[in-house]
Amino acid sequence: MKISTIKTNKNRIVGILLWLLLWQIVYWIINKDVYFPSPFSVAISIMSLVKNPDFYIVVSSTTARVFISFLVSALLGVSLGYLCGVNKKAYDLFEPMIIFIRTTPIISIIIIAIIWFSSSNVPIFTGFLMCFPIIWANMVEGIRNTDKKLLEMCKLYNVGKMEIFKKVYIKASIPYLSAGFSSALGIGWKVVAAAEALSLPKYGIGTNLFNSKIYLQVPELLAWTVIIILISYMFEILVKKIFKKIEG
Amino acid sequence: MIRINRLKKNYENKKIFSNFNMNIEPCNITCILGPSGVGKTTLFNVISGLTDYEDGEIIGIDKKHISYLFQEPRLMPWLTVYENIDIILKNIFPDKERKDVINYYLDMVGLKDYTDKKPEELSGGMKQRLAIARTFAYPSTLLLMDEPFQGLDIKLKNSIIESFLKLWSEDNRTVLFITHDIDEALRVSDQIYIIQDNPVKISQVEHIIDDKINRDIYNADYSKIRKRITKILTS
Repeated sequence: MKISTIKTNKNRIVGILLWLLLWQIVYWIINKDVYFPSPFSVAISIMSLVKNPDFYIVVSSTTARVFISFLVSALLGVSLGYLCGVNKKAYDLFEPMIIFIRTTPIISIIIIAIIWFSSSNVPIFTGFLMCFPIIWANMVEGIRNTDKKLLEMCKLYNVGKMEIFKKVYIKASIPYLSAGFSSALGIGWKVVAAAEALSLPKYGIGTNLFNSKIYLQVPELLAWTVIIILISYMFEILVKKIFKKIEG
Repeated sequence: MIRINRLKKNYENKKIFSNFNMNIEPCNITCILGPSGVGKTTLFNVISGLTDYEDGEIIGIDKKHISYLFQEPRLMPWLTVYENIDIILKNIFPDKERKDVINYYLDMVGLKDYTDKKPEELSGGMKQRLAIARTFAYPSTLLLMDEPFQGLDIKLKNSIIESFLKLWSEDNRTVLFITHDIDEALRVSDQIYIIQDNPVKISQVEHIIDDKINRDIYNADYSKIRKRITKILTS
């Protein structure tokens, strides 16, 4: 959290180094690799994981699950968010369901999903249920905050509905969608890994996190955690760049 | 001729118009001059169909052929100068013709070199010119202008009025123009309706027959009209 508030790249690197140093100091104090490994042993663990041919299958399997759940959430979140943003009746119809999904404990969703789906699909379903409400809510907010005066102007000049959707509503909602997509993607990674750790598909970062815990391989557990953080961060940057390009 | 007959319009239990009648000459610039808050914009919203009214009739208007120059330019900040006009013409002209129409009007208001710029890159005057170009590019038979020159300095106002008159003289379309600035009214109008009170009444109608392009609103004749209007508005 503190790192993200450091503005310049230089400051950010210094910040990261300071946190690593703190990590190392805590390691020296505890001095038990099995409970709290040093940054070096985690780095070595990452290197050995990367060398393993299964690493890429594991990472791509989890990435695919995050991507599918995010894509479905984005498509449904944007389309239903638009519908609910322009139509009060549709909003009243969908809002209770969204509140229900949002307030249901994640663990309940995962356990229900384990009963309903195959282990490989549980993380996708769980990821969708976590990402969809975020994108939906942001889209509704974006639609509702669209400048009424611009809409009035479009109405007066008989601008087509599709044109209003593409050139007014979507464009006006981009800042909201950008925030929604970033936060949904971040949560998506966490939730998919958590669901994998419980549903244990053959390949998945979550499965490997669980196995590391079982065999008390704490450096490997932290190595997978660092890998999730890095990939999630890269995707977040990618989404931000895409939106920056769309915004022009 | 556009006729507004027995118009009745209330706003929050307040009678804005009650049995209001007005005739608008075609191919003329008709100015509606009155104090702020009297109901001028409400009248435009009623005419354009943006607001409903309780009773009365408005004859001689095809609501699909109205263009409206709002008090503020109402430009899409994410669209370019060109796209801001393109969006309202997409259902009207085929691609090639649309391109010619947009370029023609942008050229008329001196914005042809700014087609790819976003509104944030334009000055206030340029934004207003773009809004004027968009208003004229739409194939309307009635053009409503709601205080389009307010808040501009004299030099800019004169230059935008010139752009407006240049465009208007191309096809002499019917224009209804709201202002509370007497000089603006004198500068561009064929008729000036002075409206006041609550509910709205027409206090006076002034007719001006001078050529609008070379009008000198500071000569003796205009001073007399100005005095008459000022007297009515301050009485």
